[in-house]
Amino acid sequence: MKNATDKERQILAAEFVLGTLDKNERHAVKVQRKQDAKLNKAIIDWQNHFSELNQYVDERTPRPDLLDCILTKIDQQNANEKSPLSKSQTVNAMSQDQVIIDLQAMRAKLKRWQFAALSSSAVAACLLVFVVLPSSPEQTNAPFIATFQSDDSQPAFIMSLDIATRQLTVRPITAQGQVGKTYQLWIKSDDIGPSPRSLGLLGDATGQVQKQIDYASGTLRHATFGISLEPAGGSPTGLPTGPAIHGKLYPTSL
Amino acid sequence: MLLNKTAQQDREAFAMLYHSTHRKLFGIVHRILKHDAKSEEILQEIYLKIWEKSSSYQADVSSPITWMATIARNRTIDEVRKNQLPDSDEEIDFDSIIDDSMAPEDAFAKSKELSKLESCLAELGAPRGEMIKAAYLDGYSRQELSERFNQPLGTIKTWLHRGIKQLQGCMKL
Repeated sequence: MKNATDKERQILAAEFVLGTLDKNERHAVKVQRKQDAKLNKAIIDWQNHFSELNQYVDERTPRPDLLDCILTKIDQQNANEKSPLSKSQTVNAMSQDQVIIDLQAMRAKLKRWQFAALSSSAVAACLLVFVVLPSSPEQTNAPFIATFQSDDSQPAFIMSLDIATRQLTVRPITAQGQVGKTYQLWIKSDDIGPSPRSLGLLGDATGQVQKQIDYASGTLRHATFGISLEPAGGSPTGLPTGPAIHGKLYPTSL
Repeated sequence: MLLNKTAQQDREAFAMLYHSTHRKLFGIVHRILKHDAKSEEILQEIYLKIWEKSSSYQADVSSPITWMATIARNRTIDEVRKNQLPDSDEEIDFDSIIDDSMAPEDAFAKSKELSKLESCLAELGAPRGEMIKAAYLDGYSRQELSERFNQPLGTIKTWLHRGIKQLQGCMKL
């Protein structure tokens, strides 16, 4: 198709837009359109014309939490993009203000999850990002404190994490126990897989819980944490299934 | 405009954009994939792409919904073609396709775009017009069109190419 005629271009472009090309042909067209302005123009023209047919497509409603899932993935992408920067010499550029702003954005998002009916495991798969720990050479061994809030006033839990010793302490503040329910702590990190992993049960929020976390400090620094409300005995699926409470993170140097 | 605001990483605008378009895009994806969970998975990818690529949207090239629907269809078609075997290597002789495109009728000039496209498709004659619509709306491959319209693959290719040529003339492309 190096010396494609206009006729060939039009047919190729239209078939590409219709979707009738096989995967190899589609790939070839995607490559070729970057080098052939006429082909690219023909594709755009056919897209605009054939798109009128979309009026025949009936609207359909996906599951209601999909936007939250998308926003979560956007957050994760942003966090991943920021992560290499924070490892570099520009670590100090991540000021406390930035941390708080980022977390407030997460908080706004997570607020929508709080009292949603979380009956499906698909929803549970979205309950990933609660608190992101910034990393900094100066902060490597400094404890971090995260507050998990169930509303905009008082925190439900406070968690402190000493990355050097991997000692984690979760203390209930306003969290209330519920009959037949238990709180469960989760960690999510690309280092340990795509799904959140349980850090254990927090019980019914009657007292402080301490845990020794068996993850490398490097993993912990970039991990995300969350607390969900689960049936007694913990999540039956191995993933968060209950309502999530969100948190704010403060370096202890504040 | 919501897409422009989305390009500036405006989450509220993105959420509004999602709420105003997701049912349509999900309809497009689901009509092709015909599977709820898979369609939802792909729809997530589509909106992530919309978020990432929104700064490249050009208002003078296409409408926002056309741009978004194009992203949706491209991703969906890629998905359904991913695991399909390629068509045979039979070469198509483009020159053998008769140039029977029609000059557009004046009556179409003031019609709305869909009416114009419909009229042009109708000119292709049954079942070629239906075949083009089935390819676009249902994401059928040539092989699937061959089975659906009970015609040899070579005939489907010829119908497609001839139909495209006719449409090109009819729609002044």
